Amino acid sequence: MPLQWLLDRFQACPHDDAVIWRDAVTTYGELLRQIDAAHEFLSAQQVAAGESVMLDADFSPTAVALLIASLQQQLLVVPVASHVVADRQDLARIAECSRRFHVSASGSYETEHFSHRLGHQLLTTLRDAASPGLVLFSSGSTGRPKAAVHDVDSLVAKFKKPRHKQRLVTFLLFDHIGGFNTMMYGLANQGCLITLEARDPDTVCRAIEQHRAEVLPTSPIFLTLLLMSGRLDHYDLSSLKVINYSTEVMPESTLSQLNARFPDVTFRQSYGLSEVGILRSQSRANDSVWIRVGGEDYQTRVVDGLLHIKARSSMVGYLNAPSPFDQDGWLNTHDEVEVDGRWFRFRGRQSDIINVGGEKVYPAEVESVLFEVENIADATVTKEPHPILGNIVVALVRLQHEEDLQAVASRIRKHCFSKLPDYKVPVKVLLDDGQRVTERFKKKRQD
Amino acid sequence: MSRRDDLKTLLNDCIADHVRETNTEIHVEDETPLMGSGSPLNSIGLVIVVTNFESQLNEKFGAQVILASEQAMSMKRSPFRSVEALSDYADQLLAAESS
Repeated sequence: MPLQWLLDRFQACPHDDAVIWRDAVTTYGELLRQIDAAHEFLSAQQVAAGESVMLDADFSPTAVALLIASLQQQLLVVPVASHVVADRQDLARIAECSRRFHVSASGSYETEHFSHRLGHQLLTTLRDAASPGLVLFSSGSTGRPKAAVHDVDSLVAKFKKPRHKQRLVTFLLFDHIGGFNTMMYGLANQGCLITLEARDPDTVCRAIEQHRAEVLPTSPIFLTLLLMSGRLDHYDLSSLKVINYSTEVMPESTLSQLNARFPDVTFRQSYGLSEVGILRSQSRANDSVWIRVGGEDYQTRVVDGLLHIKARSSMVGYLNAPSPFDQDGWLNTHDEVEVDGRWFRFRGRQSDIINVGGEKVYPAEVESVLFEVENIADATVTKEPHPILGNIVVALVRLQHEEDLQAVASRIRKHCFSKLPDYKVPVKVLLDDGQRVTERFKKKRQD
Repeated sequence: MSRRDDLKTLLNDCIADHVRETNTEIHVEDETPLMGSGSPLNSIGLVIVVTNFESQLNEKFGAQVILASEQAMSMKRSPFRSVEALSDYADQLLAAESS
C-alpha cells in the first residue's frame, strides 16, 4: 500500500504529539486510529481506486487522516482549504471529481456527489498506473487557477530520508504545495503540526507561545505585517528556531528588522512552485536574500536572467493549460534572478517588472525602501503607462496614522532619491484602499 | 493675480519641492527649459514635476486636464520648452475644459 513507510514511522512513536488542532493534542497512536476510521469511511462510500475526490478541509487530524487514507487507496485527491473562497463546482469540473468530502468543524465527514467522470489523459494515466495523485490549483494572483497534477509517489519520495523532528506551525494552507510540504515534513519526521484557526499576528504568536513551536514557515508579507502589528512583544516566542519564508521576494528592510528582533532564529528562504514542489534551500547568511536552491532531486540553470528548474518531483502536467515544460523537462519559472556563483537572488516575477524608459524596476526592491519611511504601514509598487517614459513607478501606500498625502509623497521621494537610482523613484504616491494581500499572503500588484 | 500667474507659481512650487526631494540646487526662471539639453531636470525629474503640477492644478481648479499626453509630446512647439510655456499650456487646457 502506498505510504506504508509513513505509517511505520507513526507506529514507532505512538505517544508523541502529531497534530495540535484547536489546542487539543492528537498523538501518532490516535492519528493511526483515525486513518483506520478514514479507510472504513472510504470503503463504506464505495470509492474505487483512481477516482478523483475533492477534500474540502484544513489541517484537522481527521482531515490529515482522510488525506493519507485516500492516497493509500490510490485516489486522486484535490485538496481545497475550507475557508478559501473558490467555486468548488468549477474546480470539481476541472479536476473531474466524483465527489467532495467536507470535513466539518466537529471532525465528521460529509459527502457531496458530482456527475463528472475521469477522462483527462493525465488523470487516467495515474489511475491506470495505480498511483495516488494530488491536484493542486495554483493560487494565481491573476487569471484563472491552473490545476497541477502530481504523481504522489515522486512528490513524497524526498520525505523518506529522515531529517529533523520539529514542531511546525501549519501557516501555509492545506491546498498549497507549501502547506503539503510542511505537513509531510512534519509527519515524516515524527514532528508535530501546530494548526491555526486564523492567520492574524495574535493567533499565530499565541500558537507559537502555547505549543512551543520551533518552525514557522510563512511568507514575507506576513512577516512584514507581524513587525508592523506591534504584537511581538506580547508573547514569549523563545521556542522559535527557524523562520522559513517563501512565496515572494523578501524586502531587505523587513529581513534586517527581523534579524534584530530574533537574533537566535535561523532565517531561511525557500523556493517552491506548484509545478515542481519545494526546493531545498540554504540562505547565504541570516540577513541575506541570496540563497542556494536545489538538492539531489533538482537541477537549476539560468537562461536570459530567468531561473529554469528540472525536478524529479515535477508535476505530470496541467489539466487546463498547455505543459510548461520543454522537451527535456525544464520549467521556465519566469522568476528573474541575479547569479553569484552558486547563489541566487530573486528579483521578482518577469511579469511584475516595470520598464521605465528602458530601465528595469523590480517592485520588491522599491517596496523594501518604502518600508523604511516613517508612517508607512504597507506599500505596493505598481506601474502606470506614461507617454514620456513608457511607464512610471506608482506607489500605493497604507499609512499607520492619518497624514497629508502630499507630505507623505514628498518624504517618500526624498528617501527614495537617497537610496535608489532616479528611475526607480515613485512618480506617483497614492493612498491604497484595496486589499493587497491574498488569502495565501501573496501580494496583488494588479486589481 | 491672473490664473496664468497662479499656475506659474504652482509650477515653481512643484519644482522647488523636487529640488528639496533630490537635495540638489536648481535655479529656474520663466525661460528655463524643462526638457532637453538646457534643462536642469532629467527625464524622471521632469515627469515628477509635471505629474505633481498636473495633480495640484486639477485639485486647485477642480479640473481633469492631462499635461503629459501624446498630444503634448507631438506639438510642434513643445509645452515643456520653458516654465512659461508649460504654465501657458496648462492655462489653455483649463480654458478649453471650462468652455
